[in-house]
Amino acid sequence: MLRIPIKVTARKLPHAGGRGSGPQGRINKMRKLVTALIRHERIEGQYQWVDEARGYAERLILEAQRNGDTHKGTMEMADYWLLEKDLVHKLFKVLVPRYTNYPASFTQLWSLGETFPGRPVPMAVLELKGNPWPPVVPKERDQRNSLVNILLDQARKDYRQQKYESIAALELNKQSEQQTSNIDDSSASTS
Amino acid sequence: MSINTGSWRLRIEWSMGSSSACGTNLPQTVSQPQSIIDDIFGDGFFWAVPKARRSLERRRTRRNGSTKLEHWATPRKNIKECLVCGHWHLAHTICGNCYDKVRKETEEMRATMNKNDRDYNAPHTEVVYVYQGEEKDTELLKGKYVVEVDKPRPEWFSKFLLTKALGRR
Ligand SMILES: [Zn+2]
Repeated sequence: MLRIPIKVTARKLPHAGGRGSGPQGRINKMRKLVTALIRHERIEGQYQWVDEARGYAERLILEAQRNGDTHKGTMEMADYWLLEKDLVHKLFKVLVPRYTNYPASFTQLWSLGETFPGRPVPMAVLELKGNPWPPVVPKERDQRNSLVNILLDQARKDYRQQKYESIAALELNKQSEQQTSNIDDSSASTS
Repeated sequence: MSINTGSWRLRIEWSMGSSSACGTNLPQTVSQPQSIIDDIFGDGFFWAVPKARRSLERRRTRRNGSTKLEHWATPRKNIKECLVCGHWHLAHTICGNCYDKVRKETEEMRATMNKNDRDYNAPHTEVVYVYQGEEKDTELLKGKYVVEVDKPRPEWFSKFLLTKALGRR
């Protein structure tokens, strides 16, 4: 069971391997992309191609993880999808141990959008998880100690302080009025 | 016509040939058709013609209504501001300015690795990049392929990524 959502039907991608390359050109392109992903662990490309190659890469790693390197069919599959044969060793010796007991998908896809002005083709970044490269999306900065936030906090505190003081002053006024009225009443009753 | 053929109706006319146009009095020559195509299109043709004239409004809408100009002229409402650097990016994408930094750093790291190992003989262990002034002989890096980078680690690239990936973050 793949851990990413995939389309039921494959994308046709008629120009993936050059114009008029047909289904075989598409498969060749997918093989190149999967090979590049396993080698460099992070690749860039057109969203459609990269997203399509993602499924094949996930499936390859999943099969390698399930069956091991003694299974004939898996070895043939790895031999077919990895055009550079030193990567077969990498698949079984590096990636399979890396993703043992790994509940999520093995790859991550980031959309880069279109470049404007330029070619209106949406681009994407595909990467293997646990790679040594710097993270694509940086951690959000802790904004608590920024100057604006400190000033805003202080302003909020001052506002509250003023409110409390005004309420306290009102209460004091009320109490003093009551006391004075009580005194007046008592003086009137005695006289 | 692939676009907006709504007003075009197909009217199928069966233009009669000379033999079938005649009455029933003529002696009919019974003959086996040569093929199924002859059977169907024996003496006539199918003609597809427009049934109704396209109105002025429809024609103008078809020609000028939905152009790319309209798409470009409408303001986009899915533009967000990056919380880290403040540049703008579309809502479903990552920040381009931040990613440029990452790409540049990644290429520099890639260039430091031995070219033969990187491109032709992939190491059989995990690859770890160690920056200037960091320890190389720790337990974590034992048995791993260590690449040294000749510069201090950037501030935004935190070090805890050296540990093994564990599940969804
Ligand atoms: Zn940014």
